[in-house]
Amino acid sequence: MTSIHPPQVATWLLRRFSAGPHGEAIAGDLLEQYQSIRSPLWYWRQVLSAVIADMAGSVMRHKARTAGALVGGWIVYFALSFPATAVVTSLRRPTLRWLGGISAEAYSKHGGPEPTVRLMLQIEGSLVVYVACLITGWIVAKLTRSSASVAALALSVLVFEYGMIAILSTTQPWPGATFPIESLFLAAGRPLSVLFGGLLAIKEPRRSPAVT
Amino acid sequence: MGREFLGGFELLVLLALIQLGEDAYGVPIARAIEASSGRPVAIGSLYLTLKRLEQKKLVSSERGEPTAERGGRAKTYFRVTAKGLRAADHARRTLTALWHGVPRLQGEHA
Repeated sequence: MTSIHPPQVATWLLRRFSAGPHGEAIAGDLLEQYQSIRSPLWYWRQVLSAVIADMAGSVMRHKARTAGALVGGWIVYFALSFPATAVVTSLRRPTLRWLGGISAEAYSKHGGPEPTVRLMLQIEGSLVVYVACLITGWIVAKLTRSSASVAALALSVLVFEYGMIAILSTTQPWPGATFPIESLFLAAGRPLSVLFGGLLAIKEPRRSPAVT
Repeated sequence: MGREFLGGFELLVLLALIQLGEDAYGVPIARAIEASSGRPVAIGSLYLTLKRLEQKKLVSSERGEPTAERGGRAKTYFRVTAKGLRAADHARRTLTALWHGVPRLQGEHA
């Protein structure tokens, strides 16, 4: 039997991202309809369409704020890439040593490490970049106080990252002649980290007191 | 002052609001449109349209009391303003005049 409670993650998403003047009414209407429909799929579809509609509406109403968030966000993103690169470089030598006694010299002499080691390095580098993305999202959300602006920035990061992968995959042969599929997954973490950073900065909208 | 044209969905929402009167909040509005158009209505799109109609001052909203069946969330009631009624009437007259100029549709019975 399907629960009378709708999927909690979807409700949480709705609360965090549909913060317009009618956000609470939308959540209440969906819950009321869910009592008769009881389809988690229907609920997810409604939540996603409500969030997207709310964000698109917000972006259209506040074009200047969104443009400012995009420009500012990318400046912060690139500014943070320098310390992030420094951290990744400083971590490389101890990581290689820890992964199997491979020295940094051997790494560069043979043109690249083993695929497993390469993946570990890639994950390590991505984690550092995720932190930079998280900080970027946090700063943009603090400045704009708008989840729609953060979502627009995250979307632009997503387009940029996958655009770069698409361009590089057609212009450069990958080491080992096979496309590193893990790059596709790791790149997805960047826009998600921007979104998560934004969520950390924006307080959840207040609800009217619950009725029992 | 020039009249604003109503979009297709905007007109459906406005007519549903007129039909429902006092009890017009998200769920009954969506059901009224679904019943007459035969197409499902996404609550998010409905509220986006209601917000736009509010900005055009064709609709006003009022917050109701929170209820238990809605998890303690309040309803938002919508009402058509005098300007909204005029806009709906203007749309009706425009559509009627245009339909009069359209020859009988192919396959339509007399």
